[in-house]
Amino acid sequence: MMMIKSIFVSFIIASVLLTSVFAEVGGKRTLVVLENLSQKNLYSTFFKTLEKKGYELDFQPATTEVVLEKYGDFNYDHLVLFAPTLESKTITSNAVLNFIDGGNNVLIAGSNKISETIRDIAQECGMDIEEDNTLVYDHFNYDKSQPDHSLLVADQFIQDSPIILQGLDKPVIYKGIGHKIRSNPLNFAVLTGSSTAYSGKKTNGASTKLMGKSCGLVSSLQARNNARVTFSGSIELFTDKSFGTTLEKNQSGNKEFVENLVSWTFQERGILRSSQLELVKISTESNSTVAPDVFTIKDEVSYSLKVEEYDGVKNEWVPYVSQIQLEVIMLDPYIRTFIKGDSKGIYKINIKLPDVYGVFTFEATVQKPGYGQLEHIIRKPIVPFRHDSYERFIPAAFPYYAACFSMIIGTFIFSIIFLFNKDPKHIQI
Amino acid sequence: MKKSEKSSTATVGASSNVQVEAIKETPNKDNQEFLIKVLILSVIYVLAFSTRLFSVLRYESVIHEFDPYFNYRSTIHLVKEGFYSFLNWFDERSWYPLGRIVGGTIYPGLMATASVVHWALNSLNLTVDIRNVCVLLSPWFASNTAMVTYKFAKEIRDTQTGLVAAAMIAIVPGYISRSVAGSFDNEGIAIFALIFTYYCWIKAVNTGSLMWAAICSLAYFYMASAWGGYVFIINLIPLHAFFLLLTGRYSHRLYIAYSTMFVMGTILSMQINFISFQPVQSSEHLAAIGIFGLLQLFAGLQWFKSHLTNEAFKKLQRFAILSVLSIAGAILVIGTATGYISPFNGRFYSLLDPTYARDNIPIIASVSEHQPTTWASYFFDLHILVFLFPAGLYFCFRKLTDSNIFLILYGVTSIYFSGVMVRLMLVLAPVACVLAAVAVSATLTTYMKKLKAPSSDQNNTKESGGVMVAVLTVLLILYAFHCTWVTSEAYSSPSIVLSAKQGDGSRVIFDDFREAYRWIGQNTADDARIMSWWDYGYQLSAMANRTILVDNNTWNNSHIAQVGKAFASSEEDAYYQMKALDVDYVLVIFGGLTGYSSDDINKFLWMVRIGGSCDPTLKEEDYLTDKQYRIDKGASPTMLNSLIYKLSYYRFSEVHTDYQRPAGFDRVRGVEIGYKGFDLTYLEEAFTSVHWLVRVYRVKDFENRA
Repeated sequence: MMMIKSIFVSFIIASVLLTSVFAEVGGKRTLVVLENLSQKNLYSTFFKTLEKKGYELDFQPATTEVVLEKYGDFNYDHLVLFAPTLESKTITSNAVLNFIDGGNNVLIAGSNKISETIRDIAQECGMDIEEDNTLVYDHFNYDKSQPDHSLLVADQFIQDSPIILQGLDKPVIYKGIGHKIRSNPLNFAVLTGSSTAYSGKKTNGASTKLMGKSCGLVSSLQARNNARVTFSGSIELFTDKSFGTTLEKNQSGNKEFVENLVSWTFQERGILRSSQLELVKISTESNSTVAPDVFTIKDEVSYSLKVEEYDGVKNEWVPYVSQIQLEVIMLDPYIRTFIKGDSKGIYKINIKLPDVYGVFTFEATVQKPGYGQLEHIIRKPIVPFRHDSYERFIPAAFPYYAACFSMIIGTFIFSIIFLFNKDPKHIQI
Repeated sequence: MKKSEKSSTATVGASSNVQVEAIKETPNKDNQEFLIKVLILSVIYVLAFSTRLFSVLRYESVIHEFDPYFNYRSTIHLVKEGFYSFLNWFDERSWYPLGRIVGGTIYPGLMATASVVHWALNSLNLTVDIRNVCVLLSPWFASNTAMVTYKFAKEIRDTQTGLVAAAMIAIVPGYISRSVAGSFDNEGIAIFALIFTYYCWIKAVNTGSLMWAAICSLAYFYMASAWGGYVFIINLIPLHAFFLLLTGRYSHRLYIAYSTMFVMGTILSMQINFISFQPVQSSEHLAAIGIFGLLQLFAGLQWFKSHLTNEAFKKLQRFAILSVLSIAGAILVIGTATGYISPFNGRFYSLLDPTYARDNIPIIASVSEHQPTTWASYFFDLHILVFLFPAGLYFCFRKLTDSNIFLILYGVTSIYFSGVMVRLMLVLAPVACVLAAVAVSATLTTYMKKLKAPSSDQNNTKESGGVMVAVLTVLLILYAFHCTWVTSEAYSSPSIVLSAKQGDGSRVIFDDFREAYRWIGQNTADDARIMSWWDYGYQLSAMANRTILVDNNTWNNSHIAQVGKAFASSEEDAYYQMKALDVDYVLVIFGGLTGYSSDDINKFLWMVRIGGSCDPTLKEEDYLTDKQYRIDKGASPTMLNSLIYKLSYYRFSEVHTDYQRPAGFDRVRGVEIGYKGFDLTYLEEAFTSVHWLVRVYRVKDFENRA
């Protein structure tokens, strides 16, 4: 009876644990903060696509008091800040940063006027927003149907990243403020100005050092806890109007771009997890038998790891098929190699351990912008040969063996002669 | 006390002996003497053991200091896992991430001895804990040393000298300092092995017996397995042989003794992993090889001499000597040039030139026991032996024998070495005892005879005898008192537990070290890596059982330099250095609250120097103001921002240490600290012991968004 009970209890605990693990990603509760509720209509297409995907949107004007966190639990999984001049009592920069550090995602849009709160948040997330009343200008790549040179036609998207899926080649309409991106592996520009762009005030032209491709338009932070923060300097990017604009007969790419951007920001893809690590000794050069889990120098070992990616559409983990980097480090990397994964997301490689003993770190990483933190670390001591691991008889040493044994035999014979030989008679010198 | 005790035991022995003799009614002087001798020796045996127990009685049965903790830990490994596992033990918990091959980098004699004693006791069904075996091993070996010294001095001179020498060495502070209960270190058994080897050597030279020479090489093997000081033996014995040759005392006894001892001893010592091929490769053993060759040459020439005419022999002699010298010279030059014969290592240089290490190798200079000896410590450690030593030399010179020459050489060389390094006082102590014993027994024999002699023509004989005996007795009594006082006051503190006397005379115990190590052992992850200055490495790994970066086996200078550099860097720089080394916790020793002076701030100059010896960007001048390390307002900004300053004085400004002093007054340096009220960014305080002696900080993870 007790047994069944305990099994039952442990089953419940296990299921709670499982759900809590999966609750980390895939939440749908979204808070949308607008300057006022009437602006909702400006972005109706954008919100509709979100709702279609199952996001539960909760629209709040910037003036109301919203509670992001209560008793250590977060009330929302995602936050959309469409209020560039936001000054709220409850949505302070600390509250939002805390929200991010809790593993939740934030999408922020700005315009040419940005409140201190948003500046603080962006600053903390590695984005240094330009002064108020500046815009990004480009006298070559702008919407030529209008005289406004700040209405950019931007197409400098991030390449080779899950943020923007491949095949998106239509430029987007952008009008807004620029920002500088901190150089840090966690930060990356999703969309930058072209090389002729610059940031400045309309009156006195290029006044700052922010120009060309270093002028960020949309950029993101992939935090260590997989939370994602995306800042767009232009709120116009999300409007129905820009979705519908045609550029030289083509539809603008805003709709696709925004969809990509948001689905990535809301953790629908690019979240990785690893499991099933196998580190097994295959063969050894050591002559003695040591426990199989003890690695000796120059052993051949097989390293295998399963990596999965979260698919937010299907709400399940699917195999991640690409490549990962494996480093075997002791102070310096002794081995650095890339492993190609098979269709099941299993990364397997046979490596020969270095001829150096010490505590080695096997570190598997995916270092691509846009993918979540995958850092699988296992530390393993690699021991030197035992005293009986070496070859006992090596050809090069045969002269020494010969010397040794001939000496033994010689001494033996000499002793016998010395002991039992008698001089025939005493010789006087 | 020595003298008085000797005479009192003598009277007791004599009276009991008289009764025995009375029953037998066959008075036998030899038997009587034997009984007295045995009684005296057994009293010495017990005395040598019990005088070393102060620390156990006053504190508890614990291992002392630093190195003994490593020996203790490896002994446990040896007892648990067996000898072969010990030989191949790769310790991944020390020197992270390099690890250490323990079996190949230590002298295993001590651990082997302790585990054999433990095994023997347990097979006799005396279930003694391995810790107690380790704690009491050194005192027991000190008793054995006294016995061996008796034999040694007896072999050199006579029984009386032997008894006095044994009594003296039983309590000489210079030896007690390394052999109190709990001081489980190599030296504890090495001195026994040293004296035993010398005894066998003298015996072999005196008798010319193959057997004694073989026993000598076995004793040498034991010494080589126990302590690096075996190099002293393998240089002193050739020196002795060389001097015997020079003084025309060559004999077949010497030839047999030396040849046997050298060949067997060398082969045996090469069986120790740590020594391996050094006896044939390193310059430190070159003298022994050279003397071996010289002896062969000499013996060969002697033999030829008996077969040849004088003229022919002279030609042969000249030819032989020239050719041998040139061949030896050529081998030396080629060997050194090709690197086959290694040049002298740093410790050896510092033996020959005391200033060498101080100027060139900070890691050697930083160890307090490698400092040159002061005059005061000679008196402190040897007391009357300092004055009796030359007297003993005089008596040896008066009647030169093979063994007296040995004693003179031993005395003179060891007094030089003891002047170079404090810790080599240990080598001087036994020979000082023997030489003093020679002086005492020679004087006493002379004047006792005068005292006993019937009053003759010279009327002041008896008086002078009485005065001399009385003076010597007083000296010996003073010696005994001094030794006991030094043992009790100076050498019996375990240094892992500190104590101080309060104003009212009561004793306060600071048990912060064990408290902190226990905290680490209980509260950190099993594989947590802890960074501390190397002094605390052995204790951390033995008591807290955690992975450490550097420890007291200072084999890797550059790894220690990295830790030193981290402590000397600013908090931010240090953070990245520590992250690169996978450090989880940092441990610092801080004495500013209690006035414990050997803390990390006072050791900091060595961190900078050792760190700077590998990384030239770390400059000592940056930390100095007016060529001094200061932590008050006048300190340099680099010093005030260094990691060690911040970790030592974090939140210290909240504390009042003294009345009438401002908050944050450092009691060791006697100044108010220069930088107060700062916060830590990359580390957080994890633990601070009651008296703030040990402070542990956790290295934070990388920030979520940066």
